[in-house]
Amino acid sequence: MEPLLEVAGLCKPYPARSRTPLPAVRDVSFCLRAGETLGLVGGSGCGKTTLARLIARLAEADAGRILLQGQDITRLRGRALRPVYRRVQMVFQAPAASFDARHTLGWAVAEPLANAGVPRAARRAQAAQLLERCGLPAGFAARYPRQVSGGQCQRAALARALAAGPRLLICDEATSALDPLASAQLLELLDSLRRQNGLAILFICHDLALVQRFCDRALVMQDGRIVEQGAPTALIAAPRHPYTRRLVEAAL
Amino acid sequence: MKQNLRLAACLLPAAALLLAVLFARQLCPYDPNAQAFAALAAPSAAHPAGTDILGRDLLSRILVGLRTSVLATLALVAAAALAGTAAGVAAALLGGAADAVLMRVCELCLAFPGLVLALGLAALLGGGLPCAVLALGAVSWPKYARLARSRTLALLPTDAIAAARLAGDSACQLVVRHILPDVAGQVLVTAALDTGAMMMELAGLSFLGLGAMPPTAELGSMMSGGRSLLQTCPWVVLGPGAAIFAAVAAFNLLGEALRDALDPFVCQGEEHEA
Repeated sequence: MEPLLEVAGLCKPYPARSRTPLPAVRDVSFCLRAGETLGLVGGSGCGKTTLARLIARLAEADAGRILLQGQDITRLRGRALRPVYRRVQMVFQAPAASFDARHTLGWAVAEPLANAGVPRAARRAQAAQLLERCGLPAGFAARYPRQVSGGQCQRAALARALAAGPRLLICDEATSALDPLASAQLLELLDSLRRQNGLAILFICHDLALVQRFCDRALVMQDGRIVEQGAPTALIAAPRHPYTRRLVEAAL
Repeated sequence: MKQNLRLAACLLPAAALLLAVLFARQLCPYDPNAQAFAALAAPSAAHPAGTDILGRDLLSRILVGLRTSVLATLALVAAAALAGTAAGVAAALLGGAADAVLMRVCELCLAFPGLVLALGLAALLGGGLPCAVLALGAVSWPKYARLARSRTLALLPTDAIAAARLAGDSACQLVVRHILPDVAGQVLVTAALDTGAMMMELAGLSFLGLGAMPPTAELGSMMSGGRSLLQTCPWVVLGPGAAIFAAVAAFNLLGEALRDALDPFVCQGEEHEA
């Protein structure tokens, strides 16, 4: 089966204009099949978020290739990126900060629908439906991000991501800011969405235990490189790379 | 409740000023340009602000002059704020050479004393109220450009903007839906606080003979015309001066009220959860 996402030799230095740029992502290659959950583990500052932003095409890579459903999206710009955004969506780490505080949750969920040309009346109904599917009563559509809890806000963020009808969902530490219960509920929701729609999930996280519970496969990232990959259980039981070993020891 | 009272107290002078400006002609007891009375008459029941050297009723001239000054100042500030905001947001979005050029132009304008530059420009343009407005506008937009640019640059890397891009917003939609509403609040507050200062500068240019031309009643030029009489007939200067003072104070209060109302760090009595 053709992979949904294929990343080959991806590189991105930071800051881009500096004379001695620090490579944030170096020579990263992996693929992801539809319906698969891929964990990406690593410490703070190892380049996880940069990699996520490169794949979601919020930033442009300096070298390497990103193939989405066989299409090379590495160098697309401007208007050409809009169809990519419909297929790749992202849920961010800080739920409230990923919303414009001036708009209601319903407005935010309806924004991708509006941009896809859904008429106004249908938009409201669909937004309410999406919120409900993510476990939020329809009344939440009228609330502002500051009026709901972190967990509720993250559910709304998920609803907004789903509104675009993505094939790939990138969760960038989406559960880090949530309490254990809210986090477990969100994971359950993600899992059911994956099973229902064959959604592929790139699950970025620094918690190995969570990755073991939730992911089919995991990548371990250190200093911008993928140092080890495999089934999470195997990674934890028999880590080969010293960094993975340290991560496992720190988690226990 | 206390806050609402404060807001009302701040807005009341501005509202009064607005009414005086809108109904200046109706409020005038006499024709502001009619030389129909004894020259330099002291304030009395018939002429509450006295008369000027040409025998014109000063209260009428102050009211009409206030209208001229306030409308010219508002046009000036609105134009500067709009142009500056557009330039700043564009510079932040375009980046690269366009950003560098725009910001160097701003720095050049800001490095020069504003009033001196405005004086030079107004003289170059030939004097008269429209030229004075144009000259002051040309020196006051960089402030707004820098404000809008820095706010836009701070917004662009946020997750909220990333999410909006992922939602399929074009650059235009991004600006209209997410960037301008954020920038506008700060620009509005700055503009309201700036209006007082601009009114003073406009009056200053008129005082120096580069603003309104006679017989147009304008507060700055009225003070300028009466300055030789300050010791003998002080009302000729004090009346227009008091009007400028009141208008500037009203604008500053309005600015403060707007800042308090729009500042996210001032609690608005709304419940903040999570």
